[in-house]
Amino acid sequence: MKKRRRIQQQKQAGDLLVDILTAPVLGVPRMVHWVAKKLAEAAEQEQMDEGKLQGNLLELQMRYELGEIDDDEYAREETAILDQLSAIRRAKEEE
Amino acid sequence: MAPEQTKEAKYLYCIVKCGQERSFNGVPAIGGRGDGIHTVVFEDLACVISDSPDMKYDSTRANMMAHETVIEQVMKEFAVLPIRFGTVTRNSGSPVEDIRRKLLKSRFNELHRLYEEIDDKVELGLKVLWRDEKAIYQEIVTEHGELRKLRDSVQGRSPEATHFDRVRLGEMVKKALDRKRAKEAKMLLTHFRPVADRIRENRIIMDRMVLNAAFLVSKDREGECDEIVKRLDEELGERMVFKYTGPNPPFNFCEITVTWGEEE
Repeated sequence: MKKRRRIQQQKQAGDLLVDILTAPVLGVPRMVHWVAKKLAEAAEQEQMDEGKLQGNLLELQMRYELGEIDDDEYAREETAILDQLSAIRRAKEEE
Repeated sequence: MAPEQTKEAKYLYCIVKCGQERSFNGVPAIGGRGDGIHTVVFEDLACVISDSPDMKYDSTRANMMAHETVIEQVMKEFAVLPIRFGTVTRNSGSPVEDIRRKLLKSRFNELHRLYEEIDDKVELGLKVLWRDEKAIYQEIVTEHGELRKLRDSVQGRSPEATHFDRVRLGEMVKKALDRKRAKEAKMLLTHFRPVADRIRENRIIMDRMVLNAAFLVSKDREGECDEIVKRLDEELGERMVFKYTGPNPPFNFCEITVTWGEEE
């Protein structure tokens, strides 16, 4: 069984570009959404990639260490990523 | 499915130079079952282990911290060769004998050689991040005339009409960011080359990250390294955040990967 799941982390990249491109020097929010959508598509292509998810986990840990997210948010996101990882591993075993 | 009876095994933390059976108290073993931490000895080498179910450990923060905390406790007394996170004896009727024979005995010379490499050294970690990501992107826009022009040209036009320009714009920003990071990382590392025996650059794990490095430094030069970080922080701290850690277990320079030889 292969299930397509969305990756949470892409949201961050999207938000980032929203911030940057809507900053006073840049403007044009519509372009932002377009770029964010492209990033989301790229992220989806990578969703079967364990390495990518491991990277997300590292980033999550880094953000936690930097105090950008709290214990609850950390635990929630960590569980989500680990669930995706085990789903991928199961799918690979079934192949 | 009925819950399977999980087999018992041993979890491995690190290798030290120590010829005696002994235990390490005051720090919890991985898995949270309250297992004891002790050594398996072969001649003058010892492997630090705890009892564990025969299972795969997820890379959760809790598990990784448990692994590291035990090693750090051992480091208070010994130089260590850390074993890779998640190493458990496999399907073994005599796990202690496996550790002694398949790891300590069969890799005896290699382990001694590695031990000499790190015996009088410490590993230090330095992560550097840009403090304000927006400011960095603004610098990029200011520094790249072509990028600025392209941005101005797509503004106010429909996404459909400017599809390829927008893709190109995204690529240009990414390239400029990578170049900026590489340049600044190189500048930062220059300061450490005179004091570090070895430097390892690890993967960049977020856009804001400039440098993710580990240094292997002689114990007697650790203070110099601290000074460099302090000076850089004073000089660049407004623009960059410095996360400096250590002495860490030398995961980046002599992590031991164990194979049990009878894997399928």
